[in-house]
Amino acid sequence: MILAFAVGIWLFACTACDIKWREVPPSLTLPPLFGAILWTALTGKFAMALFVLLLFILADIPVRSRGFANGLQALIFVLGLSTSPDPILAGISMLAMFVIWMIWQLEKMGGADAQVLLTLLLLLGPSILLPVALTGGLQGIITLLARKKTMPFMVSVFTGTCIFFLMQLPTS
Amino acid sequence: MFTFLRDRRALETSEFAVLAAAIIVVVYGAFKLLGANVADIINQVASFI
Repeated sequence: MILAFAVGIWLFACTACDIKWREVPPSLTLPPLFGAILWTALTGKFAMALFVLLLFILADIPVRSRGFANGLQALIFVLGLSTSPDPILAGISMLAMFVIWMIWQLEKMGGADAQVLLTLLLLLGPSILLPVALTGGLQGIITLLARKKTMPFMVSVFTGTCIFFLMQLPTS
Repeated sequence: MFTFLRDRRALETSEFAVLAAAIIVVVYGAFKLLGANVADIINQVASFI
């Protein structure tokens, strides 16, 4: 419950910045991201924390000389699978992180959006992506109907996360 | 250095958001249908490693 409130307030602040400036300052995105990485490492998922950290460095390596870095990334992925008590969840999480990073690399998503999504993925698991992606799709359709090319994605992240938390509430 | 961490843009391409939503729905549906079999395979691979 405390986590839900904290995440909700944080995402609301990010959404407000996104709507106003189409940017989110690093002071809002980076401390939660590194906090989530630290929490992941402290809860025993070292390989997953290392996987995210390596993604940050991978972006600065030229594509031609990425062979070693990609090999290391694959090795950490396998290590994460084999050392995790729940290999399916670990595998899906790491694949999702890589896909988010790839979407950013292809310039289809802003860096702040990717940083916030990685934080949510580390804190809440891969199931958070379903409501966020669905609300994102809906926002995308509305934006396309309004004949606009880009949209403030943080609105979908905030709405999707609220839906995720509401679905966790006991029904009785 | 740290291009990813320095990027503060918060915009997404609308077409891509729709495409990503469609892909996620298909992947989720496939995992729901084949989930048990996929889980078995992943567990076998993990225990083999």
